[in-house]
Amino acid sequence: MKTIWFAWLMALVLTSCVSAPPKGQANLLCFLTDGQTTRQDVIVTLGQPSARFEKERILTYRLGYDPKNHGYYMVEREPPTESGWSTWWHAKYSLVLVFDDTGVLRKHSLVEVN
Amino acid sequence: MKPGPSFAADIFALPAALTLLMFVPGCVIIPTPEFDSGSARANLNKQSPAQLEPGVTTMEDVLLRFGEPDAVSPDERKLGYRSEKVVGIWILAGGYCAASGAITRDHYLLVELDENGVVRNRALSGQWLFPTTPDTLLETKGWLGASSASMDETATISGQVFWFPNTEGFKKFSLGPGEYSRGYLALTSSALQFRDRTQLGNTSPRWVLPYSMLTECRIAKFGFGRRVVIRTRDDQVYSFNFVHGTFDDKKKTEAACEFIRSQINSPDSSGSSQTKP
Repeated sequence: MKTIWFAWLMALVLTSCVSAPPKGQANLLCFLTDGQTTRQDVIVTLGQPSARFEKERILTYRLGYDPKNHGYYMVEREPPTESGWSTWWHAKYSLVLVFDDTGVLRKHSLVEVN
Repeated sequence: MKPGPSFAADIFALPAALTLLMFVPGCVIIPTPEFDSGSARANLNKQSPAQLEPGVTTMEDVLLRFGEPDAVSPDERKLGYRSEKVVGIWILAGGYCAASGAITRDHYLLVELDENGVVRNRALSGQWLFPTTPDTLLETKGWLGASSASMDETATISGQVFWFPNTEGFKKFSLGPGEYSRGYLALTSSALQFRDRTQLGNTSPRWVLPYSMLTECRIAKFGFGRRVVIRTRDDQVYSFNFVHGTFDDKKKTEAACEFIRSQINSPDSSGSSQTKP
């Protein structure tokens, strides 16, 4: 009986020590190369952007950051508060991608927003 | 153009609000050093406008420097950025109850662009306690706050709604995430347009249902609740109800149903396409 209780106690102690696996991917943005990466590559890799400007010449993504593995992960636009403003609780960076007329990445910037 | 209340107005607004609070028995206000609240962007400061040169800086430059804006006008000629700083804490106590909250101050950077996407003007403004809405900042006449930008501004009826795709009235009581959304509905001359509130102002509505695609429109009732139920030719069903703040807007919901019915029966009702997410 004591063994069972001890096993339960150990299980409880051990499970409380388990931490969530890191969310981010350190190399998530490594594929981005100005002059080479296409819009199609970006959408296939990162998914749909959180915003588009100038007829999709400029795309933006919201990214979270996990310090455990120095990794980035995608964050969707958050629903706005009652005042109508979208929040940045979960996103730390805004990735801005500017494409040329042929859809090839011309410039990009990872802006620390929060 | 002046976006929202001026700094001069703010200077008087905060002391007035704080004075009012001080006269409330059991209310304590503790000023704190300014810090970012965490809910808004933190990359705005007093120097931000100076980094944008009218006549030279382009939209591309603005985005590369400040990131995705918090609000965009339908024509992309105005971009809005917002930061939120906590400047103090209020505590209200009485009897065995107590409540507390943050006193905040918002800053807004409004960037106006010309027809070539070059910065024409930029201004930083501030607001104490009660945030300026995106509509007020961008002067979008009540369309952007509920995220509806490219929708027809001549819509007969429009406003904030709860939108229930694949739901007939009140038949489903337990709705999970993704089964309904809050947003903005515009009843234009040819279609219902629904924009999800997470969408930016320069994007297309998530749902466009031309009246010519509809076969039925009726009101579903449950207690005091009212929802408009619409059915399409391909037997898809949607429900919605207008809201005013946190309350149902029964009158508007019923008026919307009447309007849609009249459009369904109208020989002129025609639409181009039906789009879905």
